[in-house]
Amino acid sequence: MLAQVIINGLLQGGFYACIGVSFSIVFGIMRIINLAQGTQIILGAYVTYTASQFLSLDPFFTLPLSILVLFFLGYFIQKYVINLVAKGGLVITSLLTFGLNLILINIALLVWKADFRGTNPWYMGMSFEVAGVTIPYVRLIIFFMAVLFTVILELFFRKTEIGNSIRATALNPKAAQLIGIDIGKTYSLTFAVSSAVGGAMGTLFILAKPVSPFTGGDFLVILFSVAILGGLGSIEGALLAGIILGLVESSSVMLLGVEYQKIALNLIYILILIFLPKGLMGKRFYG
Amino acid sequence: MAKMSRKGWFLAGGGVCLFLLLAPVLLRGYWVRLLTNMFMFGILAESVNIIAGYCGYLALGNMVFFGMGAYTAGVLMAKFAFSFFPALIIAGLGASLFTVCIGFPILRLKGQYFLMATMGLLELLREITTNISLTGGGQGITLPIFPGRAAAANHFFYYFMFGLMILSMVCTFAISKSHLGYAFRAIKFDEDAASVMGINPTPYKTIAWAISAFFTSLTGAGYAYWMSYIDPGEAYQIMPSIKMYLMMVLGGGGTVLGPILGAFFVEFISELVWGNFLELHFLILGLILVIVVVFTPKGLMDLFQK
Amino acid sequence: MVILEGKRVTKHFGGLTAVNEVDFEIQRGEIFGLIGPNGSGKTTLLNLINGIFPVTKGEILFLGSRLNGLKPHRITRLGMGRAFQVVRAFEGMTVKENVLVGSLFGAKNRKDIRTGMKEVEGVLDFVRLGAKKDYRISEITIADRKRLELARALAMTPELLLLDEVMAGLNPREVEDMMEMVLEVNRKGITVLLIEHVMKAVMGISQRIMVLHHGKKIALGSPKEIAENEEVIKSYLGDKFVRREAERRDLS
Repeated sequence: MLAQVIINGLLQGGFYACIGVSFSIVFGIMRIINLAQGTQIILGAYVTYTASQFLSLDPFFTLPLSILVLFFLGYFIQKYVINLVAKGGLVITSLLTFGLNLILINIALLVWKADFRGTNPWYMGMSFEVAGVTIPYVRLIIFFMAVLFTVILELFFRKTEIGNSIRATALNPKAAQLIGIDIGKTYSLTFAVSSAVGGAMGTLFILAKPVSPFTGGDFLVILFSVAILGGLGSIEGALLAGIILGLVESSSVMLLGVEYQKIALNLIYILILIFLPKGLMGKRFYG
Repeated sequence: MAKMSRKGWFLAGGGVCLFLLLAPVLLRGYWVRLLTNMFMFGILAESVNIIAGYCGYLALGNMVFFGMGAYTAGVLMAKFAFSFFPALIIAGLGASLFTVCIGFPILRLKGQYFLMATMGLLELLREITTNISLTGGGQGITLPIFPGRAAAANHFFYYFMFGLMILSMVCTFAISKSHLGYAFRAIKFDEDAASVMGINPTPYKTIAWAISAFFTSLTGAGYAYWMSYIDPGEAYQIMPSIKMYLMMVLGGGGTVLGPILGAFFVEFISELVWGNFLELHFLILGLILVIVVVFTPKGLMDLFQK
Repeated sequence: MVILEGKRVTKHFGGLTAVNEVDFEIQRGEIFGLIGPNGSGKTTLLNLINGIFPVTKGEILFLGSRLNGLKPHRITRLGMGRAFQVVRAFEGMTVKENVLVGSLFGAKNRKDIRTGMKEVEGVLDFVRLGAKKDYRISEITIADRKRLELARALAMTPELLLLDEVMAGLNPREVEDMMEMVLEVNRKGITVLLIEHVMKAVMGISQRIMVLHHGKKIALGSPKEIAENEEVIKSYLGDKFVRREAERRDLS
């Protein structure tokens, strides 16, 4: 029983970690709370839904498509909208991202209507057993892909030139400008990456569960929690945070019952803010 | 723009007030209800103005007090047979007390974190309310119906919201001219410098939030009684929270009249859109948000003053 | 009479020791200068005196009472006023309102707004900003901003005035004006602790000067004594300079 709870938590945690990282990137680098991130994830899910139907593909293989679509969507949004007010302060950027969120939700409503849409991959519901623990194939796939993307992001930010220039911009925008980095482009790229990863996670999400235009809102507290608990700029921290949250969720289901699951997560979130605002790793920034 | 003399503005304001006082008699029920909604948002926007516009703390989840007020009234009136006004007072004071208790750990947090904390509070309260039997769980609570005919009820709630709105405006005005106003603004502009200049930020921030919570809670209580019903989804919504901020930003944070004007404008548009373009409701609201934020971040009042 | 006293004041920031066992005594009514190269701990020491950071070790006494652990707003009310180095004016308020905040909250007594406003006008006239009292902060010059900082600190009717590089960024004429204003303030009986890089100013008006280097006190004395102190010269200009000067003197 305990082992099952742990495994469940772990598997879910990987997903949480990755979506948390996608949110955390924008928060850490541009100090913007992207209230539309949840809906962007869901849009990735919708791309998968439509593409897998049109192209008669297994939804998993639509990953490149959702990544691409969300990448360009994110780039477009940042370049032509958010960049106009990126330095405007908290109220402005928060209201803006919320406004974008509403627009995206409405678009989803118009195109896909309010009903839940799901994919039904052939491996859905199938699982295998190891030492008395049931592991659904879908969950395992999601976990691996989420961790993979998280690692790719880490490598991107640490090892590539672009990644490093983004981190430099985050640490000191003025200095970055002086050495020739185009801040606007950097921000657009960052947001695009965040969006793309979110889209990928959306694809994975819809393998397991159906989505509606409003499902994005459910992610907010998780996004915030992972970003804060993980500490700004620490991807290892985000992984750890995601897993902790996954474990909290699965253990609260076991200890308190499903109804209290959300309460537990919310309470933990508030407690994190009060007691660990610098996160587990305590690092200040991407660097 | 201020070509009219002060006297002119006073007369205009007085005229508007007179009209509004007589409106329930002059206008049809639909308009009365619309105006009541506009007043309601006026209070909410003004409340948010106190903690965010003046004091600089963006409590994006301020609707949590609306919900608390609504449920306090609901539980007291439905389960304990309180009458409205006592329930109202308790709702208001309860919310303020809550901010005093929770204020210490939460108001310590900086900008983004405070914002995210208040959003978390909103979610938390909603989840708790959904799961406790005292509050009726997901089914919500049905409140005793206002005694009297429908028209009388409409009038009652019209004047209730109007009165509360005027009260909140008077309160904000008093704050702006007093020590509190200067302290709040100093905290907003530079909290550390403010403390070096002799302002202890913690009690001031808490007072600001407590006042904001008070009015928001009273509004929630009134709303619950008006609708005779409240459930967690309606009480603890994020949408009105964002709307309040939009109204404040549009009208001008840190002014007395700004949020009220913003509220009237946005709610009026909202109503138009809801009535005619229901499918595009979110889209239009979202577009308004984006446009306002990009083009008039300082709000209408700022345009007036130039 | 001693107005401000520091005993073995020490501040650690993690592994970094910003202020290291500094002892000092400031007499009532004097102008006390505090100098040292960048990073020597001057501003940190000021922040400790002001209550922005707590001391790691040692104590600070103001008018005989210990300041340890008191918050800045408390310390200000005891009779200290501070002007910041990087002008931290309240950007959204007018000049007058900025000074009013100091007057209403930083002085020992509570007062109503009308009284406060009158005092504010007096202070603004003293620093010669009276004409610009209704201007927004964005509309005034750097020199004006420095005078605004001074005005805000004065409005708190301090017995001890902490001035953190008020001369920075001013041209020679403006420096002279500011020096004159500080002297005037001092003539009214207000003790002044002056952190400065502009040597002409701090040497010109201080009665005594303390020099910090790497957080340690390396010299304390009259301006003349400080100017000739080898340790001080070394800290500012480096070892090589002192040696070369010594060699040159030997050769001549």
